[in-house]
Amino acid sequence: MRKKNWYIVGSALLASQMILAGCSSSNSGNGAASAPASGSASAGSSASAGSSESSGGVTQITLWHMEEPPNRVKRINEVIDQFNKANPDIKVTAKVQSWDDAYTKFPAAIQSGNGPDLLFTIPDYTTVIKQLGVVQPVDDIVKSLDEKHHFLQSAVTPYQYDDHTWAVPAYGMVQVLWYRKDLLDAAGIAPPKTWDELTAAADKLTKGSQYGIALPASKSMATDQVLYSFLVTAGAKDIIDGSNKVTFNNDKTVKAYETYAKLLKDSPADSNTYTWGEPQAQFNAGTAAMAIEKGQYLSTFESESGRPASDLGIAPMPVASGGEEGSIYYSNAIMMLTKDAKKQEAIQKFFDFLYDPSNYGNFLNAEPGLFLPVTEDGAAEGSSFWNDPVITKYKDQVQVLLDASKKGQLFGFTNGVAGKIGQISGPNYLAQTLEQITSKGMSAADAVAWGQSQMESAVK
Amino acid sequence: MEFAGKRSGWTKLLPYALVAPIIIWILATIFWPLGNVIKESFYNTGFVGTKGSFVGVDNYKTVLSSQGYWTAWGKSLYWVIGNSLLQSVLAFLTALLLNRSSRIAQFFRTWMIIPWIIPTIVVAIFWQWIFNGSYGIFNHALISMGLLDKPINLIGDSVWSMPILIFINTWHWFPFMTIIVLAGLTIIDKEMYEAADVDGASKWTQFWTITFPSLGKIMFALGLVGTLWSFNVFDLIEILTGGGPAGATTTVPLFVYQTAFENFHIGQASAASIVTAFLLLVFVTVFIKFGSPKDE
Repeated sequence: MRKKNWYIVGSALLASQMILAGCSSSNSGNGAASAPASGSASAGSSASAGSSESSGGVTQITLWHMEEPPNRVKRINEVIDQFNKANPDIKVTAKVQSWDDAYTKFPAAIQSGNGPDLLFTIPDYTTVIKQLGVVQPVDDIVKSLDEKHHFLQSAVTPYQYDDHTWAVPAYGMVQVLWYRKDLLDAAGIAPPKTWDELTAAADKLTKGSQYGIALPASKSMATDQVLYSFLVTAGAKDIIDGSNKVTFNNDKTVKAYETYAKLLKDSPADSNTYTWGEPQAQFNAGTAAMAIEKGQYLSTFESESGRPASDLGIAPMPVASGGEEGSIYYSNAIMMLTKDAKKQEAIQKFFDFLYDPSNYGNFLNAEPGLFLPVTEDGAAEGSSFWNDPVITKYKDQVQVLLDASKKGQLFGFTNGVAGKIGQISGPNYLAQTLEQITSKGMSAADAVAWGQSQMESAVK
Repeated sequence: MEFAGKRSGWTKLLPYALVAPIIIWILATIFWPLGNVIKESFYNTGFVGTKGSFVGVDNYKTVLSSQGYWTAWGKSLYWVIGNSLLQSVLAFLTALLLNRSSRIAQFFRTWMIIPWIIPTIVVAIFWQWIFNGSYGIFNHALISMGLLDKPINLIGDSVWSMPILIFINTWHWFPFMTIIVLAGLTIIDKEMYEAADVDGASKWTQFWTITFPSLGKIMFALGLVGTLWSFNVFDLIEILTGGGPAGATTTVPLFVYQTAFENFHIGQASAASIVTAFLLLVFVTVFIKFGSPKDE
């Protein structure tokens, strides 16, 4: 063969391989049998995810959680170590995973036998994983724990459908309005209670390099959640019903998006790249006077802002005229994936230990203020929850969070349980609807109509 | 011939045994997943790990009639052409500057490769910081010079996000292209330039009549492989914009990923992959037929 032809053939072969590699790599999660990369930190031994059989009289339980910050990993491991020490016949091993892998790699790992026995979850993720047919009902465990500790109904309901309870609620999270008391006081502004007061305050507080509020506007779960708090307070919490009928497009939803878009004018210019961390950073830096988020603001406020704890203001989510009080609330929970009776028995013991008020607070305070009790005795005076120094310091703020939990809502679980809510939350259609306004210049009404049509296609 | 005829069975098998591992490796890592993708493209599988039912060519019909898919192709063409042009110009200019024997040229030949050896994740993060709308040095510099009064958000802007991504990807990859062009320049016979000088040819004429034609084979290979490399870039775009804002940077690889893992349509994502691979093969065929260097 001539030299030129060799050259062409070689190039073509390389090109073909690149095309095929590009094509197949797009679906690498499909059929892949490897477990997702685990964090190095784990409680107990470093047993692999799949090696959790009973051995030597010790029942091995593998637990995957997605609480990656080191402080959370450390505290969760400490609690598990205490359990293992108290129960020498059981060994729970925690593996840190990432939410980034939850939809792409976990299913393949689970189906190939490399999954965990216990897997942390949130309500919409549970509806998705349940499709794999591996999630075990936990009715008996929840009933037994409820009798002893009394679960908050709003924490359990999102996991109850198809005649069973599919996960054990572990901790709740709720959104509130955070404000910089020093900045509001300086401007002579009272904490806003209504949307009108909120927009007026944001407008007045925006001056020079300071912004009235920091809101996320990227295509992300963070944006979905803050938007949903606006939908709740607009009176438009029902975006889909139990038969997966989408009811997103209505005047109240449009009003919520109009207000959000208006507030974004008083939010930093790069808000459409924000998720969770950026608004908090702007708030702590004093660049933004308000933010709407969950309880993670407590633990870092003083160290990052350099301001006293008394400058961290908190208020329930402001309400629209004609709307209702509330905000997004959801409980994180733990799914049981093992069918092994001995392991299930060990898991029951683990839960009994975890929800004991003397242990439960230590677990919750892996992230003080963010993880809220889902049991009545877990939040009771004298329980270990109140022992944490951050919780003690911000006791009033924590009480506002606990009160807000009682009025919390979660999309897909307000009017029956929408089994296909994962198809709406996965692509972040709430946030994408906002992008139609902020990036494509659509009116709020057109954007909401677009969102309705996208959601209808998704759940078809 | 006589010697070959007397080879033992083992000797005959040895060449096959030597290449077998790589063949098995390629089959296992390329063709087995590819076979799965082809199979899935005929099933309505939703969430990864679930089993779908056979739907024939429905997924192909959905993909081919999907506005989102063809919009992503538009973005991919913008991405590939933008990268190709910018990288080619930069690589040629840099290679011509470095194709000298001066000490400075020798120094930069080594150090100019740095952007290429930096991992993509690092490239993405530091450029993200540079262009950050709140703290980035880019905004800070423009505001300090009085060119801006408020920060601008280039990465989150629906018009500017794609040019900025092309700029960042070009910065990352042009050193590689420069090295290839530089290698090509060093093998051009210097006597050709001397003869051209004697004939009174200008530097510009020398470039178009000697340098450029001499690099024909290299340009062909870079054009082919570089285009496919650019087309398949996923990580940088996903990290910096995730395809946003509002789909402004959703190229075909991101569209496929989002269809599979955010919208939970593995079957449709597989069909989109196959259609994309077919279209790229058409491009390769046309490129080889019309773009291959002529015989000397």
